[in-house]
Amino acid sequence: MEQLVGNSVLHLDTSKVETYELHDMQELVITTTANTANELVIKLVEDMDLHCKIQLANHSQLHILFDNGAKHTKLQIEADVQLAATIKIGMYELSDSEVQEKVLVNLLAEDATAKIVSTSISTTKKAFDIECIHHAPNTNSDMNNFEISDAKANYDLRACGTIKKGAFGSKSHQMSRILTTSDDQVSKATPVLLIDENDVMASHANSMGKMDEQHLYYLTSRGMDEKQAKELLTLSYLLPISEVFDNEDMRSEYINKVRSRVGL
Amino acid sequence: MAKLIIKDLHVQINEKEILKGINLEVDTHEIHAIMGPNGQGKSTLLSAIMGDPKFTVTKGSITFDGKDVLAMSVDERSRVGIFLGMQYPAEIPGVNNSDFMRAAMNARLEKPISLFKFIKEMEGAIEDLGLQSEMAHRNLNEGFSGGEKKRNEIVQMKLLKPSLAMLDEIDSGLDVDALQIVANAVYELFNSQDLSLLIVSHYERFLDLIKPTHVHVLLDGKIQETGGYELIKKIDTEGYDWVYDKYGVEKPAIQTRMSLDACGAKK
Repeated sequence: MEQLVGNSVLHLDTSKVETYELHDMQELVITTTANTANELVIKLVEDMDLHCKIQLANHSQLHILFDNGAKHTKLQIEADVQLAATIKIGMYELSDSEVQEKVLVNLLAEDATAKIVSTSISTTKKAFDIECIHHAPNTNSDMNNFEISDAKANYDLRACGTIKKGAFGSKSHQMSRILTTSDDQVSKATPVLLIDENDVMASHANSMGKMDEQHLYYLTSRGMDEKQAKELLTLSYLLPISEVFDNEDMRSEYINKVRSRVGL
Repeated sequence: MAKLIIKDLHVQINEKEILKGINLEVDTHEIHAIMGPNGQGKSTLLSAIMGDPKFTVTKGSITFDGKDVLAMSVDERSRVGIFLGMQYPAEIPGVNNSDFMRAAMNARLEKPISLFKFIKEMEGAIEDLGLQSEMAHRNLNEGFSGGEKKRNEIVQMKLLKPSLAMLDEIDSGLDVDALQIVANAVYELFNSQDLSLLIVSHYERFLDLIKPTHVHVLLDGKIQETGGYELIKKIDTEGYDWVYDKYGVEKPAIQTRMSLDACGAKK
């Protein structure tokens, strides 16, 4: 793991898998070189108001996970994605942090792709504003958000897929699943689709509510007690974060972290 | 040798009484078939034994191996050896089939099963039921066809090795070949351990493969008729009208269609 102190620029000119821990930083710039594939974990361990600007060159791939362990975080991520480049952004928010996160991805050239996954457990205020804008034809975006709203949670999610005129053949999909485990919480999800082109595909799917009683019954009918069954169902909301990575070690690390967080 | 004893069981859902006094005894190495027209309480009976929270037992008792089943939670019932292969198995996104099965097996073991042994048993069960090996890595029942869901229920039954296996219309959604595979798997388990079977089915074909020792007809919330295998043949050729007549049970009214005439509005 590398420590980055102060405002930094990361220029990724070769393919790498790396973890960075940030200190005393307001701005982080990440750029990729064409035809590279990188997997990064960015660890936030101290309170921060961070602006992260990402530029993806043609045919490059960047999978980046923001692992937030700070108490108070304001994070703004802005990514420009060029020709046939792919960005996967993961937001790992399983600690008791107060969070305000804004993600804006611009799909600027043909076949540019963005996948965004957020996973959070809330016991305080967490707000996410996520938008993918399709500027060019045949671009793709997928925004998947998973949340467990516990007691005292105040969760607010806005997810927006925008397809501009001329971005024909583009696809914008979003899904949000919110599990509420307490009556003493407030959760809000606002899906938005702004479409200014005819030949496109767009969808959104939202679910919000308590654990499905029939799912609990099915699991306990196989011998698991209610606590174990609830842990398994909770896990199902959180494990998708590991899919940000192709690298098996990174994926296993985050699967184990999530399992440990849930108590399994 | 665990015996299921049900006495005067009354069960309701949403304040409507479905079971109106069921009496039944199922001993080890017995295969009991429950037949009857739709909506008479067959699935309700199996669900009530398993403890589905949708149903309320208002009267009666259920004991298994001398223990009071109604005093047990759902998971306790499973751990004493009761298994239900469900009519409509739940699809649970995000819960991996393997993770789920391993957790279920470990729930009844003093020491967790080794990964190697688990993989061997799971892969063997999946192969025996004619399913693709990738089933182990898919989410629980998610995207499975109806037949695959039913076969996955039998995979679970093979791995959990219950003492009482209840199968709720396990034959629906299965083609002829799959029916044979499922019947073979059920019968193999039946012959290899102390097991009793309580099977709800409409169709002679599956029951012909399983060969029940006792056959019951459930009508109007009660077991009205009990017999041997010959009862299945009689129902297959004559239907249930004779049972309604014999026990003086009123047949449900046939719904008549209402015509809305040309404009589609009711006059």
